[in-house]
Order: sequence, then C-alpha cells, then structure tokens
Amino acid sequence: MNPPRWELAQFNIARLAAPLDSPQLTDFVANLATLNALAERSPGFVWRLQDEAAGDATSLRPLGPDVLVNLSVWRDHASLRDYVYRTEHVEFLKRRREWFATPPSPALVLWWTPAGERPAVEEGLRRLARLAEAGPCVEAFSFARTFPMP
Amino acid sequence: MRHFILFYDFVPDYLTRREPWRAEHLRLGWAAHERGELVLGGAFAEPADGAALLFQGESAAVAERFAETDPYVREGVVLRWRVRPWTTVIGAQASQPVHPA
Repeated sequence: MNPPRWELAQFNIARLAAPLDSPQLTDFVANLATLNALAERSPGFVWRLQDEAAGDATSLRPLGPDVLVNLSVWRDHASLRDYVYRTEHVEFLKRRREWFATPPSPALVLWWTPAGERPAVEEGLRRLARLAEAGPCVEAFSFARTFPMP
Repeated sequence: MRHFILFYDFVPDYLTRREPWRAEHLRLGWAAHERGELVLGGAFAEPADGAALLFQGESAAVAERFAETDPYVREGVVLRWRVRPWTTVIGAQASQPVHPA
C-alpha cells in the first residue's frame, strides 16, 4: 500500500487573557508540555511547530505579544479530532475561557497539505484569512465542515 | 553520511519580505556550512519562487533543525518547506558512489 499523498494541517490562534507568566495562566503553562507530549503520542500525529529552545510555539507571536499560535500536521481530521475531543486535551479545552479571550472567528483552520511538507506560520495566517473571507472550501476549512482528502 | 535537500516555497513578494531577515538568514546558513552541515544553498531564479539547500548528515534532522530556526520560515518569507533524502551516486562528494560495471 502506498503511503498517503496528503496530510492534514491545522493552524489556530488564541488571544491571551493575561500574560503568559501571570498567575492566571499558571495551569495552562504548567500543562503545556504534557499536552504537547500527549499530541505527539496520539495516533496520526505527524508534526508540530515548536521553538527549538522552548519545545513549544509560545515564543512565536506573529500577531502580537498577546496572541499565541499553534500549527501542526496530522494524518487526517479523524486523528486530529480524536486528540482534540477524545483525550485529556478536552479537559483543557473546557477551561480555555480562563486563559484566553474570546477568539476571533474563525480561530482555527484546516487544510490538506502534500505529505512531507511542513507549513510555516505565514501559510497558516493566509489560510485563516481565506476561511474568514470566503468561508469553508477545500483550501481552508474547519471541523464544522470538513473536506475529504484530495 | 547522507544527503538531504531542504526545499522552500516562498511567498509571492519574497524579494521584499526577505530584506529585514536576509542578514540573519545568511549568518545562519554560513554557520551551518562552517559546521559541515550545509553544503550548498540558494534561491531559484526565473522565477525566484523557492529555494533549495543541500545538507549532509546522519538524518533529516540536520535540515529540519535549520528550517525550524531560519528567520525566513519564522517571519513569513517561507510559506512551506519539506526535506527530501537524496541518494547521491555521482561526484566527488557522493554519499554512495556508483560506477558503471
């Protein structure tokens, strides 16, 4: 069987409700490494963006000091959905309003990327803008309306 | 020792977007060259819509590490990147030289 020709990229942004080093964010920061490790051992995980020194993406702030970005690649949307909604990650998702301001809409975008390619943040930003401007399409979609692998 | 090619796809306004980051990118590249990791690198021409950088090392990590720290990737000059292993068989630096029988 040939390996898949496409993988699923996801990019999302989150506006901090308080500085990352504030008491309000303590639980989030304390569990970030755990959540990232959980993602990495989840079936279908392929790759995530991380700063070499920190091991996460919190130092990357292309939209300003109060906006975190998250960029990763998965085998397909089923594997990403399982990680997001069917692991311990969901417990942290429930607490997101403690740590993050109401996000812009949309805050997350998905798209199919050729297997082996690694998107940069710039591509995530462009895909998110595409979703905001023109709605879901195969180049930029969300969990609410997914598109099959090309 | 194996060879790996790091491919970049640039944003359409690459020549403008690279300017603030070019010196840092070049410093990173030359430092990788001096460590014996980056053999050759540069942008494509006609059009300048991407780049290729040839690395040598034991695994693809040598090229992946470069991409993950390159300001061109971090700061929006590069849209996406990929690393391909390259089985080199011809030339003085070939990793697995093959000669005709």
